[in-house]
Amino acid sequence: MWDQLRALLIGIHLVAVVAMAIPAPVEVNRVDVDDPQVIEGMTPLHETATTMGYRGDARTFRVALFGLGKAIIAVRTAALQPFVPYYKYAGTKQSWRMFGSVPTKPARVEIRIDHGDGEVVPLFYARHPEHRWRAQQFDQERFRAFMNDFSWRRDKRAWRFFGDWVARQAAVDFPEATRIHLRVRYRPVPRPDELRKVGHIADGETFWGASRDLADFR
Amino acid sequence: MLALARILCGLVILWTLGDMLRTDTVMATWVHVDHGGMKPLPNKHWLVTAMGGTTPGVVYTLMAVAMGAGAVLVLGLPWLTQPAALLANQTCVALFSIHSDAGGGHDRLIVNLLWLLVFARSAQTLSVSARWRTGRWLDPTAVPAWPRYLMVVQLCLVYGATGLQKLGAEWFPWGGLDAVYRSLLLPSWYRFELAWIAWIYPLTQASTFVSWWWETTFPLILLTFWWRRTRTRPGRLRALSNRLDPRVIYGLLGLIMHGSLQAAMNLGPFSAITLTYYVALWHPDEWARLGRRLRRLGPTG
Repeated sequence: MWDQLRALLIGIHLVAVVAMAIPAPVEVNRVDVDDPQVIEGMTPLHETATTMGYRGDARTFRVALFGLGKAIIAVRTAALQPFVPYYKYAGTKQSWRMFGSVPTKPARVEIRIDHGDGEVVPLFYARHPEHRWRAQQFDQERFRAFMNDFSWRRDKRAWRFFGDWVARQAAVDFPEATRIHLRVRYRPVPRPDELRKVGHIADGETFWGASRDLADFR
Repeated sequence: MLALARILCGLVILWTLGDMLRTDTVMATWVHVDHGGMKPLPNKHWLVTAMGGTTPGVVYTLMAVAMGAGAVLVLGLPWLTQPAALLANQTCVALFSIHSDAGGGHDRLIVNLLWLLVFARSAQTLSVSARWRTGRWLDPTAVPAWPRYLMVVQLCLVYGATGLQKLGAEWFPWGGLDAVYRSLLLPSWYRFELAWIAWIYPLTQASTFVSWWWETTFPLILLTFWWRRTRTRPGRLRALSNRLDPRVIYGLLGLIMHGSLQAAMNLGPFSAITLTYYVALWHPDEWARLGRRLRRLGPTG
């Protein structure tokens, strides 16, 4: 009896984890078809499809592909429904999308401070060898994971909470400081021949600039 | 080698949670903004809800229990090892669900392995339990092997699924095989800027090509298990597989890939927990043979 029960449980486990691991384009539900990174990533696919006889323009292609992706996800969600409690309570969730698409324009968080003399100086630039304020925290891998969302321009709400938290820490560490400034800066990956020539990655434009008056956080 | 997997998994739990204590990142990562954390964190797990939400007291208690259970797994204490696996599984699921953006594949690999260890008799050997029962650290008594095979299936799912989802053009020749080059230049993950990799660009292209094929075809390892079990049957592929042993080839490539990742990027305990699953690729007798061979190569051998 125990042997049969064990075989049944192993069978259920196998079906549950294999079904959940089957790749699904979950990104289509939260990414905009007109996002520049999406356009860049899908352009080669559109070009390939065009050489194979596809007649539509790039945007129509993206919309059609995203529509197909959403349909697949709807079917998958329904099929996985019976196993949801198993994933939830046993922790057997399977989601293995890792480095599926690697951006050419990654970005890093930059934090600067005004110590009260009107001059804004760097405090922490992600992975910078010199600007290392609280780097032990910012470099921790779980911090890196959620800060990575900012480099993809994801989760503006979390960015606001992040700014407040940074301001609270700075208000304690620098009692004399007046303002803190945050932004995310693109660090476009150059072609290898360019990188060999200049020897370092050049700064790109910034986005999500924000500042906090530290008096509000004391 | 469920015992080795148990020990390594316990160490990984101690590492990933201990590192958060060392770097003072617990409050900002897992505690609600109203209690001194960074952002609002809704209770997504029954245990967190039952204990009262994402407050410092709840989070630190969960961490203490998970780390205690991790230590029990490392030691393999009598009667406590399987309950400890369940305790670690539930507390880790609860903790990792608090802020899902602040985690990664390693979290899922940890809790998946813990779930298998709940049912595995992994304290049979290399444990305080073995020492207690037999007076020796090693107890060669056989235990059911099915958790080991489920570990292999899990490893195949991880690699196969992640390989199939690498659909960006940069993973393919028509996209320049740029993926590894670009990945190593992502400020979110690299330990330090690796501008010098531009000088070994062709090597990064080769790594991209090999990585994709290695990951995507990894599930074929399952066939080698069948072919080894049926080695007396005919078939060229079976004979070739049994002669070359693809497990060794795939395993060595995995060691190189995870070793490089660990050196160049900060992905937490991802490499460590993934390599923990590798121990299941080989039968305990094969590990014992390897141990004997290494001892013969040693200074006293």
